[in-house]
Amino acid sequence: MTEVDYKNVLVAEDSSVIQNLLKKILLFENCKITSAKDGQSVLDKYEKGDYDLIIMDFNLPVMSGLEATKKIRAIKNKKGKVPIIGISGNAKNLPESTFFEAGIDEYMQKPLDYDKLIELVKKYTGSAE
Amino acid sequence: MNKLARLRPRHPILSRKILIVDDNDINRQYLRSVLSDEDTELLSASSGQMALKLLENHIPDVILMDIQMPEMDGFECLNLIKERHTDYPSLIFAVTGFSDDFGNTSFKQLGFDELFLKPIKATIFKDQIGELLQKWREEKFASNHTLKLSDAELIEIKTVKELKKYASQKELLEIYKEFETETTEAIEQLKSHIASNDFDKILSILHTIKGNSASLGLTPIAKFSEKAEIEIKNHKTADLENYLRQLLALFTTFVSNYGRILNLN
Repeated sequence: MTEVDYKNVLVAEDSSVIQNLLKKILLFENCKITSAKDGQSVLDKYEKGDYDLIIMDFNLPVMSGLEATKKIRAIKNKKGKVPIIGISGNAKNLPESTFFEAGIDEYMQKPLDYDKLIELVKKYTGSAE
Repeated sequence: MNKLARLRPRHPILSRKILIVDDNDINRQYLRSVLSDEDTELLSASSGQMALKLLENHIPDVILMDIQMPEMDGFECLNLIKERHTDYPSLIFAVTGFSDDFGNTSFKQLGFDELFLKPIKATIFKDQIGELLQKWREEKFASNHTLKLSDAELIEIKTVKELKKYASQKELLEIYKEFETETTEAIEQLKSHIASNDFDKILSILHTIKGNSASLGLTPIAKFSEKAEIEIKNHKTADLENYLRQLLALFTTFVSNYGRILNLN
């Protein structure tokens, strides 16, 4: 096999079920997944690494995904502009606009439509054919 | 796809597994092509014996039974199914070209749930099956009998088909195994939070279970978690122990069946 150009995706999701599911699904799209299970570790990992995309659940412990999104958007350089796909079961019944105002690029409601998710990942990692 | 094909059918297509029993290859092929869609898993048997063999490993929603078959006819096959399983959780329909197969006895007296006369009209047939299945499921849920779930009720056919596009058989099993592990832990935590009336934590766990189970097509578990979530949000918290028992029952059914269901298709 020739060298594969992996895209680095940070997945912020506290459930290992969804983490592993996304790992398996996105591997097909040449994505290398890094997992973060709470809002603070999303920030820590994002700061240290070099990511092409973040998939962010909003219902996270320690710091919510919404808060983490706002903090990333507050970074005043290129790093603050990473694409973020927000996912949520929307436990608190917030209007979708709240998520977009926080700075996400796309929103997906759980249960996830996997085909649509892959479409979005392709769109934002520039691997669309 | 043209516009007409996208119009919603009169009845929503429910996740379902259908077993076609017919000794004639062309009839089986025809029914397959009429019934095939993303929500449906189809099984075919060319004889009564083969049908019985398949039923050892599958709990379908609907069995379409040809009557005139060599060796074992549709009546005999039906009787053997009912003998082996009391309270059988599938609808069994007779499909025959000969209305006088039944003489003066009605198909209902013989134990069939419905009779379809060949030639089968593709457009109506699919709709009728959907209608009967929906009605039957509603009745099943309304009655207080212990729920016996079919394979396709327990795990949505469509979700599994979608996941299979991305995951190998082994990976698919791993994903569901992960759900088993995580949810076993979550239910343990639920028990202690219920004991201490910690409603925020209870809600958060139910929400995670709901999201996970819905993502894996485990509709009964997802629906139940959602129902419990809504009740607690509305401060109906008197019956939490009962919720826990019901959730545990559904989860146990999932645990003892998912390996069988996913290993097959």
